[in-house]
Amino acid sequence: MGSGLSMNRQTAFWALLAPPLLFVGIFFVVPLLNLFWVSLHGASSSELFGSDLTGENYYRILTDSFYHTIILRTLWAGLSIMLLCLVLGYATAYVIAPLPPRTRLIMLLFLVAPLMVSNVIRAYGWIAILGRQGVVNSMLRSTGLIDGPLLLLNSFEAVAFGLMTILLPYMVVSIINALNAIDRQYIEAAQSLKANPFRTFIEVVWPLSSPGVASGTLLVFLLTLSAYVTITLLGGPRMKLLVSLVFDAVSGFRWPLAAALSFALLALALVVAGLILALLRPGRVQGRG
Amino acid sequence: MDRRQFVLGSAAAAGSVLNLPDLRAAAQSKPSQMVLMTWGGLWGDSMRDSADAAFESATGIKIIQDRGSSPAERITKIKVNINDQKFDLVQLHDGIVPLAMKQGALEPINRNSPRLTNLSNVPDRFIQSHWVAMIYSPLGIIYNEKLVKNPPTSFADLWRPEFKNRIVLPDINHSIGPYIVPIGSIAAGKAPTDTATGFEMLKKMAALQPIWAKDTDSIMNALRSEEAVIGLLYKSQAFTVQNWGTAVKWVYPKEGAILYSSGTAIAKGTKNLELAEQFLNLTLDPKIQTTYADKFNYPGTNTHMTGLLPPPLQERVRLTSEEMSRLIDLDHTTMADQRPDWTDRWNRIVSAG
Amino acid sequence: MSTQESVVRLSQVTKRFGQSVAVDQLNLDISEGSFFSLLGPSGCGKTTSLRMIAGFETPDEGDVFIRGQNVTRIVPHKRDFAMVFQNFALFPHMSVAENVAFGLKMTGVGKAEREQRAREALAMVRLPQFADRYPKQLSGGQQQRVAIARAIVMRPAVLLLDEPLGALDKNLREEMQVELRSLQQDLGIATVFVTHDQEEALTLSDTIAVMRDGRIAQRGSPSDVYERPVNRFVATFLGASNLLRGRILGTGKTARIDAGGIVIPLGDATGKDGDEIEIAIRPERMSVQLQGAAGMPAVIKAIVYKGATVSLYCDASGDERVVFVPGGHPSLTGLKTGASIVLSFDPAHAVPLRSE
Repeated sequence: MGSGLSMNRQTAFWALLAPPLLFVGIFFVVPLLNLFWVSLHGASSSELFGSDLTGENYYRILTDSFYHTIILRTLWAGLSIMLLCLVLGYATAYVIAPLPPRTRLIMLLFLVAPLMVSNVIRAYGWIAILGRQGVVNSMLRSTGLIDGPLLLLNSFEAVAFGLMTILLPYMVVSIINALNAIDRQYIEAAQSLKANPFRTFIEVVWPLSSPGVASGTLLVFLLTLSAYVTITLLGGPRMKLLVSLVFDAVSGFRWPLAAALSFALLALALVVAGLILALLRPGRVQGRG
Repeated sequence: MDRRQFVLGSAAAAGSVLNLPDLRAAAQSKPSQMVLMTWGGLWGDSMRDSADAAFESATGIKIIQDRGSSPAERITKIKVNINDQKFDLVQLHDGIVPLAMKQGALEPINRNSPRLTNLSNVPDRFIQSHWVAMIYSPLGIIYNEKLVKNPPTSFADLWRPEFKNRIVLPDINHSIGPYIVPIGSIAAGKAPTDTATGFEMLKKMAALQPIWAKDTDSIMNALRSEEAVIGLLYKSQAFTVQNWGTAVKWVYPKEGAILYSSGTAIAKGTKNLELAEQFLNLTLDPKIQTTYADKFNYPGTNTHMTGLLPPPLQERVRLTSEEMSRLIDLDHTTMADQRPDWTDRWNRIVSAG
Repeated sequence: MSTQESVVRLSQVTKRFGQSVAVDQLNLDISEGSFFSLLGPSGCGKTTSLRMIAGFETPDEGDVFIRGQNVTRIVPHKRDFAMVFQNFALFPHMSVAENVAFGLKMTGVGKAEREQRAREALAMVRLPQFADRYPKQLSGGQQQRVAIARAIVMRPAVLLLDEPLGALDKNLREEMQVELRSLQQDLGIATVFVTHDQEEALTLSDTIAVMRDGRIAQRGSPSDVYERPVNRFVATFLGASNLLRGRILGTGKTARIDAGGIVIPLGDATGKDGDEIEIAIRPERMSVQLQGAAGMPAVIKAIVYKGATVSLYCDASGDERVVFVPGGHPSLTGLKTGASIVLSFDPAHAVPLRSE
């Protein structure tokens, strides 16, 4: 690597960065550009895509009310699951963060334990629990609270519930790290300046935990967008989201439409990620406004 | 599942960009192994123990199963590798064969090949230009005898309002998902090709909020858990649900049952065409086909197969000639052509409704 | 001192952490306008005492009073104090002005008034032009001043300072000492200052309490504590001391030093004839004479030149002794390492120590 002993920082910087850059370039950027190229074509019955360049896929997504319905539903699902996870995750993290390291580790292990089971198996687990003959319905029926079984599956609630159990740990871990990074002196300083516990939280703890909140909400939102298995198994076809349409397009060999829908999904992700960052301003913890 | 789809897409893209060289030397003479793309689970195991084993003992060539892909993905894999084919054989169900042919993924069947000795004992309705069915099963109605007081007799009975929320149907991504359109049209007393009527019936069905199942296992589970009291199912699978202790009964609809078949084709550009034909012939062997009757209650397509079964199994598997003659052959070519369009229309009715 | 006069009073306060006693039956009185330092090595309980005044720790026994009100069970944000933290604890997500106005905002002071008062406080610490900056954009000394502004803007009954100068480098520290002292005197806020730096405590304080093992070893004015340390701990922790052994003579009014035979007055120290006693003498109170004079014979081991003073490290019959001589003093003439000399001192400067 260069001139041995006199290798300067600049060289080291690029030498260390080159492998991951190359990796991302070859295995992410190039296929992504390729995918974009595909999305600019029509479908073909015999080839992966047609030969003429066209923007019709994007035009369809932008003008067809069916896609609008699905995009809005995707957005709504992502945001509401994100908010649910934020509220529950923050509360959990707030309780776990101040515990002694050992206890905290054990609590985290409990929290992460569900992630050790595959998404598919977990979704089937929820089916067994939420089904007509499932645990919830049998319990409710045995206590006489309901006469007939409740229809819990194939609904937005089922998807939200299923996804929350998967995504909550991401939120909790992100926020715990952020909370533990907050110097206790800031909280005592706020108290010394007459802030009651609520104001201390609003004015000091919440803004200082914003990096964790930002990474947690981003993770949850982005994972929700792509959580095909859970959405399909617990939501059924009536709860189709954008990612389900990508799958459907692929099953029908309409690769260009699938590619265009993927880019719609990507655009949605980027817009929401931008909004989250603009709203939470995690950079302010670094004192940059 | 989402990931697999994505990886496949990227692999296709990366392959076309990088033009990766094939590291395996093209073995023109006798290969040490051949690749069969098929379903996993019990099906793949049965293939391994019957046809694969018979092929290996006859030729000394090991069959490697690629079980990871859906039928549509199998076609894509063949397409992607077409210039340097790594696959030899592919198993597909009847509905997707036209698509595979259109994509140019299959070798034509040479009816005069000296290696296809069993072909003469397979009825013509099971042989297509590029594919030969190995097993078949009628698709009809299954219902819960305990919970349904007024037994159904026809496809039209699926639309009875009393079954609201309790009907299980394959969703559009299931291999037989689009069948709900011709079935709807049949139920309305029209020809199976009357698409407009079929979609009208789909709208009525969507209002009944059926349980849309993504695969056959989900249909069977919905029946087993009594989430559903009525649905569409192959006759063969009905026995499985019965064996689970669920009080279900399968009905041959009075409009006629839909023929479902599944079989084998040769991957386009295989380097072992003659050996592949030899394997295909084995899948049509009556003795080998008994494995599937035994394990899945599937009748084999070879007419000599039923005779090899013990009488009780014969009773289960056999269709009367009257039932055989009323089996409905769907227009798979048109349906495969229309599938993307139908998926779209189906989504608009069911998902965005 | 009665409860009415003192701003802060700690009465028989004890605080334990598990098995160890951090503060042991502590009594403190801090009067209006005074600068009170808690000085001691780490772990002596000085910070815990401060945190009990703030309410960040609750005593296991005893009571804490602020302006006569028993605040022992009252939460910190309802106590009348302000605090400057060790690392300043400026809120990184708020501008300097927002930091300074924070406490006023929490107490419901209107926007216009709190901006005005924040500006005044910043002017007082000579940082009016930095109102819109963020803490990260300021130097350590500037952050320190903002932290002080943020505290004094509250006009608290008592200002608590937890080693606030510890994070600054030496020059800045001395500069800030002067500033802090004059600001405190201008405002007349009673101040409790926690430090382990004896020089800081001597420079700033009206009263110093030297703490050890959760108790106060000695309290008094800086000169009291420095010139008349009561025991060996105070004598050695606060500056350097030469510790000599002696014996009480006759009625107990005087004692004779074992080495050299100098007789010193004992003041109010007690004891009977023949009792052993320890005596401390500050190095700057010792003088060097040529061989043959009366005093303790010694040999010079090292001469360390420090500019204003010269330190002589000597061996007097096996004991190490230190003498600080003003630079350029005539007694230094011709002194070399290895030279034999005699050490002497004015008996009035000898401090008899209480045994511990």
